[in-house]
Amino acid sequence: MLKFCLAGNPNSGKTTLFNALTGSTAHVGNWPGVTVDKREGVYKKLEEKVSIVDLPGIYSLSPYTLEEVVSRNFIMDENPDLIINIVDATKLERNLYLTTQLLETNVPMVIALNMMDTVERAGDKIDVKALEKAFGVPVVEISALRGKNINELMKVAYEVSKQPRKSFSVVEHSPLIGKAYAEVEKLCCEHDVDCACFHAVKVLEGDMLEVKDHPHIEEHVKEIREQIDSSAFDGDFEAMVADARYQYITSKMPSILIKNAKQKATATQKADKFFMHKVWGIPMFLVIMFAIFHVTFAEDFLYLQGIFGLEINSDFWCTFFQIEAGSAIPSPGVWLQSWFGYLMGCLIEAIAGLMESCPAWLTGLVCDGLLSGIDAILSFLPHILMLFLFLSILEDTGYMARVAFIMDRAFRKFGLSGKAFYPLLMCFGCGVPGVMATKTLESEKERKMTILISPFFSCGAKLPIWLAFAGVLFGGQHGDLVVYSIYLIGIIVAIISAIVLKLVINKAETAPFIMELPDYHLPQFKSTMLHLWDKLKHYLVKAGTIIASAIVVIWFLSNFGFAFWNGMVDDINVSMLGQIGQALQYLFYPMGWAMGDYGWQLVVSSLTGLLAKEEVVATMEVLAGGLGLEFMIATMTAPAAFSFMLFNLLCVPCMAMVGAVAGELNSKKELFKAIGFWMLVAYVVSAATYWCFTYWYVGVIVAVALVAAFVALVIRYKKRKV
Amino acid sequence: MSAIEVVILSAIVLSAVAGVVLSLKREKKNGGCCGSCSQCKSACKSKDNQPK
Amino acid sequence: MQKSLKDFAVGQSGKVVKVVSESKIRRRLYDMGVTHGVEIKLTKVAPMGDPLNVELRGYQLSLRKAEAENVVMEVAE
Repeated sequence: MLKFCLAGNPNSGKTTLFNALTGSTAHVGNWPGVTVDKREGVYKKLEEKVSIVDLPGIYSLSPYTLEEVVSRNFIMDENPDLIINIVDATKLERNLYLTTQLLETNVPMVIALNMMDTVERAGDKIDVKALEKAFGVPVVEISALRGKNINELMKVAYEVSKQPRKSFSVVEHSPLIGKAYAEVEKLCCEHDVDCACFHAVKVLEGDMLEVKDHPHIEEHVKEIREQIDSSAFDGDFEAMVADARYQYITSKMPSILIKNAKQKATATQKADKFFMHKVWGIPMFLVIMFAIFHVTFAEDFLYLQGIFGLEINSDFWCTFFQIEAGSAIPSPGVWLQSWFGYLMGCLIEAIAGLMESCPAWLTGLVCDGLLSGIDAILSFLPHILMLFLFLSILEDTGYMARVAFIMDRAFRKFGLSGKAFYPLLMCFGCGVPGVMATKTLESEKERKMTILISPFFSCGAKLPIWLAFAGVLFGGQHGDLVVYSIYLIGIIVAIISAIVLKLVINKAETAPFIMELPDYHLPQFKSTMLHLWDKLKHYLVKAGTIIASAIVVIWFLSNFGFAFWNGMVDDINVSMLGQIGQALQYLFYPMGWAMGDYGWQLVVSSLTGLLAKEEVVATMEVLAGGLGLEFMIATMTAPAAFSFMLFNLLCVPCMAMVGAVAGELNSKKELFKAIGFWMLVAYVVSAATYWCFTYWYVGVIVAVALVAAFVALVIRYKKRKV
Repeated sequence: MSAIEVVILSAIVLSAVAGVVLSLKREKKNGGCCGSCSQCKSACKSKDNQPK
Repeated sequence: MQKSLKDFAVGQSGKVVKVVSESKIRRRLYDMGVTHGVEIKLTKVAPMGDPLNVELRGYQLSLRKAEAENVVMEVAE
């Protein structure tokens, strides 16, 4: 089978093209660096099947970042039959820089000129013939997004892959180092180095890996280097080579790109004036996030009832919105959820009807255990999908990359760079890919810190907990605020821990932040739907496997005594789980929420969250004993409820995430430290929340103590710095 | 409860326990991934690639 | 007149004369197209004055003041 690889700058549309070619559904996002690793698919529309490999986006082939290493190793060691170099036509100059490097390998190559439609819309023109002439490889205009011309691209690619290509380097045209390059290349040829062009440039640059591989050439090259006046570059040959490449591209640009005489401000520039405003940038982000939470979770949509006193009384509309007479219009998210819950309820009743003739324990297992437990999780599905719909739209448009930009300064105060924003953002979806994405962070310490604070970013699996409470707390009127506040508190705790961790492990070392800002574009319906489909699948698979199994076990343990063959027990407190739970309960007393009527049930629920966080709600439903978890929550005071939520937010994440963290930290000791850290933070924050809000004077004392401690820490830090 | 009911109940509960254990094992094998969504899949595969 | 990119005002543009940072950052800047003679315009400054957003070679690049400090520019008239 032939093997073609896709190489190009980050965010140039490689993964979009990959999906279009292979019919796969890989994650696409509008920020640089979504693809961290290569992935493979098959293209079937040619005579021969072709394996397509999507490489991570790179700006250069130098082996400095993880992405560059992955791409370079693939191209050099795995002998692909062809490189499809995807070039973003709107950023031609910078994209062609990588092209000049790829040309130095002797792998056949085609340039796929993407996003031509945007260029044409701006009134600019690109002379494809001139481009072909300047770089010596065929160029095909495509639109990866619309799938335009991609079969033509593959036809051209197929033909090209059959012929060998002579490598060449644009460095030979450089007035400053062209001669030196020619000499080094001759040397390489004499020493029978494969791919002489590529290695000659690398040796001239003084690339560490190359110098080690070709020690005998290095001596001659040293002499050659000394003959060149490199003072303008402080003797840095890498810089000189880079400069030579750009000089070549710049010299060719006038014939390739014909700019429209009238340059008007692009939509991106206009939008950025707004979203990246010096003063309004950060407040705008908070408002946008709140608007999303409001549309998804609010009981009183747009505060129509609160402000205008608008109420729904007619029968038709009450049924339509699934509300009681005299209520406010719910937000779309709440409305969808009510209907979904109603339909689920009908389904469960129907199944219960069918099971009337079965023994009582079997009916209990299926109806009170399995069905109500799973219903407790699934009924939040509309909310969850809606929240992720909005987040994925924000990501797709390119707004999230702006947020990294406006937040960088703030992040740096906590010892993180704006780059850490991406992995942390992923954690709002699921912590596992989030933790794995920390691989792209360049500084070891920054990676460790990011991993440690990542569980504090409330993941999708924890959302059902907040929703269950949001529906009951404060009469269920301020669901949007409850959920929003949990997300915000999570972020604030993450920030505070980052500051403390910075003092302990990270003593002022921040990785550079040199990043491309992508253009805005309209969210793509297809990729947004794919995101949602992914989320749905992830959720359903989990609900169907680990959660359903665990519910059965929990139901069994809570309905039978240790002598289970004697039949079900009437009082849940004497069940196996009841007795275990009551023994453990005391450990949780200081946090307040374990002291109420349902104390041990809540303790057990939190513990089952270790299996998967969705399990917390499912267990609560099963242990509420037919009264429903709303009743259980209603017995708690607001401080106790918040204390419970915060404990579940901050304490040890699910096993899957612990596994991922173990893989990234690569050391048992570090892992135990991390687990200890999470438990400590959860316990302290949750206990403090309970006591401070239950007794105001405790709050005052704690606040004063905190401020004092913070000031002391800062003074110590400043002193150490001096 | 009759003997046969006890046997059926025990069988259901034991298989549920096995279900939990197997799911956790699968997660562990995949390095914490669910292994069914594309985001997880691409994250899992990149495990062996560390920068040099 | 020469000055560091860090000290530019929003809207000001100029040409790169020299990049003087340590080699890893310099290499990265060169890869992104910040080479001698290229025209750079400072388009935006983030809240709290850092990082900066510049336009060059038809695209948007953001970098911190710490990195911009090392880019010596010739201010355009």
